[in-house]
Amino acid sequence: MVSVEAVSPHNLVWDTPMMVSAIILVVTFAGIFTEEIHKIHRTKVALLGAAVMVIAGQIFGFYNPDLAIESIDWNVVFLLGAMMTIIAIMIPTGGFQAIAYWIADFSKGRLFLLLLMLGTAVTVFSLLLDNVTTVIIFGPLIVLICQALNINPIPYLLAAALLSDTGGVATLVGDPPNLMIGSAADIDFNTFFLRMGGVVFVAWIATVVALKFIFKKELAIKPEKMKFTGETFLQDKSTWYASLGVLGVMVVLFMLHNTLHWDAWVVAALGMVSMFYIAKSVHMDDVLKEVELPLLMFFLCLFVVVGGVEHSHFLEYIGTFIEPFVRDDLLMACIVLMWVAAFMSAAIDNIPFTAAMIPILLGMEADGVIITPLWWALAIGVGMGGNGTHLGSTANVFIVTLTERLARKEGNPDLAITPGMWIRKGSPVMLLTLSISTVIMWVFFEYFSLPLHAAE
Amino acid sequence: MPCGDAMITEVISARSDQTVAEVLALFEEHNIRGLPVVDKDNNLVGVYNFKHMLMDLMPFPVDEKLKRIHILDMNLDHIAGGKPWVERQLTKLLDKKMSDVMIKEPHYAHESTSLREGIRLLVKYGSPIVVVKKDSMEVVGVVSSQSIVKDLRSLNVSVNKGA
Repeated sequence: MVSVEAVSPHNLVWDTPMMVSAIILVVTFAGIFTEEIHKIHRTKVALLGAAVMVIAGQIFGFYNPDLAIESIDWNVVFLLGAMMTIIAIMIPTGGFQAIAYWIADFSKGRLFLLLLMLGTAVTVFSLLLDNVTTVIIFGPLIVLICQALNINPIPYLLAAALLSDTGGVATLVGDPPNLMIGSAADIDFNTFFLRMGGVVFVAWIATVVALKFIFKKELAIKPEKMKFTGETFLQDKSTWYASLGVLGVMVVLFMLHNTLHWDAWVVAALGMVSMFYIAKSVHMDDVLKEVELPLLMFFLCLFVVVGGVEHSHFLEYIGTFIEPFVRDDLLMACIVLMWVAAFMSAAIDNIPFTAAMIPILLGMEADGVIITPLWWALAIGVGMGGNGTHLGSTANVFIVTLTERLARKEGNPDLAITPGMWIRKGSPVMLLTLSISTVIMWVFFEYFSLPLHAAE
Repeated sequence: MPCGDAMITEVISARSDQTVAEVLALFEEHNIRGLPVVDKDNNLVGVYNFKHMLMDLMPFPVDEKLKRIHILDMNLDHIAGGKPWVERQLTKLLDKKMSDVMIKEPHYAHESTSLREGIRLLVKYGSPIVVVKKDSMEVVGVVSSQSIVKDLRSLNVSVNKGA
């Protein structure tokens, strides 16, 4: 068995370990991206890929179980798990339902206001919770409100998906790819928000304006006159308000986490511990059942698979081809990365793509290339690219499935968001936000190139 | 005791082409809350009960087992004004055929199935549990919560007498 750990980055040569790890990576990713075709759950595919990578790595001498465990970014896994637990405690209180119905009541039949307020609520929660969770919570509530108003829920559901995808790009914890990027590049919460907040805000405004134009006809109809009472179904008022307090403290701690020398997961874990004591009536078994273990296992396995290609130096090898282009014109490299990441995110899945890009960028950085703005380009691309198709993000898939089930139940196919409808109404929004982000990156390139840490 | 001893043999059933309105009338007339749906040879093709009908009256997605949101107890006592909800849903439901709304692959038992298994099926899948012949799906009876009550009482009496 040949060990390749001592190879110099400048003397990279295509060899057997690289080929083996590359094949395993490509086959695993292909299996994940074609889940809809073969119907094998993506986590099962990732599990198999990880197992094969570890075994092959041991046979060909580039990987082993110890290195596999070291490859896992536990910051991402623990943070996601903690946030899932927090949400599982908050949902039964009825607080999200109260917010949705208060918005429906306040809007008093003014449909654009309803869209704007629901979109804002979804975005605000997406800043702290991952956008998939936010859409899963608000999606069914939006359907209920629209049924009560006797209006088609499609504009509001599409708005929820698009605005949560867009808004989630703004913070370190708003989206799993952001967590992965922030963890790998050691970017703290404040730096992430300062860099991304502005571009996301402008993109968000543009999305809202675009939706008003796209759904002009639907927003002009007169809904049924309904009165929604927001207070009556806060089933557990004290837990809801206390959990909002915990979230507030978590935001402050996220802002301070770098100063405290804490990774982001520590803040989330402390929040989770607090919630368990605040929600005294909650049973741990019931809450922890809601933690999506398949998703967490998916991340674990992805890190193991990517760790394998890292240790074989395959991704570094790929990076050597990209490096001259990056050195030559960093701004163009950022824009190309943003759009490639967006289209990959729209077509397949942003998480594996992010997982694969991170070692490539880190490899270039180790080679002395300045890659700071590339991190932001990657975050924007994978985040906003998800709006491109109905499969671009898990939130989109959930919304589409929700509308299909609604259409089946009501016997009205017009209630379903079809792939064609998404191309007509969602994809233009993705192109618009990406174009805006390109211009902002170009104009403020020096700002995006500022060092990530003060000492640099 | 087998299910064959605890079942009702005079079965009220419906056909696939009957409407929800007609079945609702059967529920009221015979004071039942569920029935098997059969074909022209009296073979079981589905089951429909009152709970299914009530679920169909619920707005989507209240009755859906959706990821994470299923732990939210969606309160519907929040709307005032507008056309009453239940009436609106009922108007759509009453004309639907049994073939569109019934449970298509129902759980069933045989005459020799033990009563404790019958009770387990009742608890897990709801009433009625249809009893069919072993070598075909021909309906011979139903085990329902109503039919069980009498037999549970007679069981209790015989246990006490034995003690």
